[in-house]
Amino acid sequence: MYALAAAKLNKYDAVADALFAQQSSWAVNGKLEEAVAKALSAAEMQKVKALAKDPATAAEVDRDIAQARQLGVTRTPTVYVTSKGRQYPIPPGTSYPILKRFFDELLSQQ
Amino acid sequence: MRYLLIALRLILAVVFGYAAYTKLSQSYLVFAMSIDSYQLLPEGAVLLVARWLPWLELAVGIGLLLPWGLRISSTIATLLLAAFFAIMVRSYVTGLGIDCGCFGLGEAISPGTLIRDGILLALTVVLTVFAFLRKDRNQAASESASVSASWQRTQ
Repeated sequence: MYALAAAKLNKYDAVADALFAQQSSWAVNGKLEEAVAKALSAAEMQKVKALAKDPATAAEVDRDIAQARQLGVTRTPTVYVTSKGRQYPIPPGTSYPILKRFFDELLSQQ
Repeated sequence: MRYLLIALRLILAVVFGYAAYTKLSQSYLVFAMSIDSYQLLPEGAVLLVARWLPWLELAVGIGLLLPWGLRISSTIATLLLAAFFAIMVRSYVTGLGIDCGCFGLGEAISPGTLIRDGILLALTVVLTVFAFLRKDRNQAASESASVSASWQRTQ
C-alpha cells in the first residue's frame, strides 16, 4: 500500500527497498510507518499517508493480490520472468552468475 | 507381500519419472537456479548436478520397474531421497525460505513438502529392505534345495 502510494511520487523503489530491508522488524512490532518514513522526507511522508488512504490505491493493491493468488505467489518478494509466453518463478537466493546464465539463454532464444 | 512390493516399485518409479520429466522438459538452468538457492554448492557443481541429476532420477525410475537390479535401484533411490530430505530439512530449519525444486519451480519448502518427502523416503527404505530380504530368501531357498539334493544323492 505504502510502496504503491509512494510510486505516485516516483519513490516506489526507495520505499519498497526500505520495507524489505526492515521487514524483520516491522513484521514483528507492526511499526510499518516508521520503516516507510526512513525512505522519505517529512513532506513526502504526509503525501504518501494521504495517498495510501485513497480507494484507488486500495483497488490497485487488490488487483495485485488477485494476480499474485492466480500465479500461486506465497511470499514476498517473488520474481517472475516471462519469456515467449512462459512464466518462470525465480527462486529466492539465486546467485548472480546462475541468474545471468539463465537470462543469457532466454535472450539468445529471442 | 508380492503385490505390496509391486505397488511400491510402481509408485516410486512414477515419482522419480515425473521428477525427471519436470526437469528435463525445460532448460537445465531452471533446475540450476533451484539447486543454487540452497547455497550449498559452487557454480560449477550446481551446473553439473543440474545437468545430470534429472537423468539419474530417470534411470532410477526405470530401474525400479526392471525385473532385475532392484537392490541397486532401490538403494540409489533411498540414498537420493535421504540426501534431498536432509538438505530440505536443513534449509527449512535455517529459514532460507526457498523452493524445493523437487518437481519444477515455484514450490516452497513447507511442512507439507517435508512430510511428502519423508513418506517417500520411508517407502524407499521399505522397498530396499524388501529387495534385500527377498534376494536373501531366494538365495537361502536355492542353497537349501541344493543341500537337500546332494544329501539325497549321498543316500
